[in-house]
Amino acid sequence: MQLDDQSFILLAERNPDKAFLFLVDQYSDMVFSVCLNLVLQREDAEDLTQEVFTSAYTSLASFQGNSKVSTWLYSIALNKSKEFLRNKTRQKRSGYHVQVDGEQMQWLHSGLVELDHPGVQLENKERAAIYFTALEQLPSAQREAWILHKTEGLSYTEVAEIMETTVSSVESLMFRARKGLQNLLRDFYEKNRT
Amino acid sequence: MDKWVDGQLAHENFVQRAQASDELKARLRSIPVQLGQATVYVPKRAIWATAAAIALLITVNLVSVSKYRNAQNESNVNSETTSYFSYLESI
Repeated sequence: MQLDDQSFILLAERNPDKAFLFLVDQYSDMVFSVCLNLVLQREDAEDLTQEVFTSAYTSLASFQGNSKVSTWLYSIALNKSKEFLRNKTRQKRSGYHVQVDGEQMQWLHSGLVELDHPGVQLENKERAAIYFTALEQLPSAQREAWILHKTEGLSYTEVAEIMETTVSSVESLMFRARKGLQNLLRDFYEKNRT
Repeated sequence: MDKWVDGQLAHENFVQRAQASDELKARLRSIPVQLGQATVYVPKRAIWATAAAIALLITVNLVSVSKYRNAQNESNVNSETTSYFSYLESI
C-alpha cells in the first residue's frame, strides 16, 4: 500500500489501526536502521524500534502533518535512542573522555566497540568496528547529524528538522564531525601501525 | 594514511542498510493488540446524527415546558374569573 502523507493523516483519523499497520510496513526498516546505527546492538535496536512504534501509535491522533511522517518517526527514534544511550552511559561509565574540539581529537577508546549489526558482513566487521568506534568518540550532536545525513541519506534540511536546529548548524556539525573523524582515524592508524 | 582514512569514512562500502526482521515486524504489528486499545470506528455522520437528535430532544422539551406553563397560566386566569363572577352572583 502506498500513501502520501496527506492520505495517511486522513486514514489515521478514520482508521488508526490500519494507519498504524501502514506505518509498520512502510517505515519499520528505516526506524530499525537509524536505531541500530546509533546503539550498535541488534537487540537494543529492536527494543527501541518497538518503543518508537508504541509511542507513534499512542500519539497517532495528535500527528497533524506539520512535518513529513518519516521526519516525525525519525525524531521519535532519535530521541528514544539518545535516552537509551544516556541511561547506558549513566550505568556504565565509558572508558574514554569525549573531546569536544575536533581539531585536537585523539583516539582515546581502549578497544573497539562490540558490534551486532546485521548490515555488516563478517569480513568487514573490524573495519566497521573502527568506523563506529570513531563515531562513538564524537560529541553526540555531531554523531547524530553524521548518521542521519551520511548513513540515512537525509538532506541537511531534514536533519535540521529532526534535530530541531538550523541548516547552518547542521552544516557546522557535519564539518566538525568530518574533521573529528579524520583526526581520530589518523590517530588510530598511527597508534596501530605495525 | 589519508587513503586509509578516506576508505574508512566510505562506510557505505562495508556497512549495508539493515532491515527489520520478520519477527520484529510481527512484534510491531501486534502493538495495538498489546496496548489493548481496541479502536471503535464511529463514523462522523453518526456523531452528527446523535448531536442533532440530542438538540432536537432539548428543543422539544423546551417547547413543551413553555406550552405547559402557558396552559397553566390560562387555567389560573379562568379559575380566578369564575370565582369572581360566582362571588358577584352570591351578592
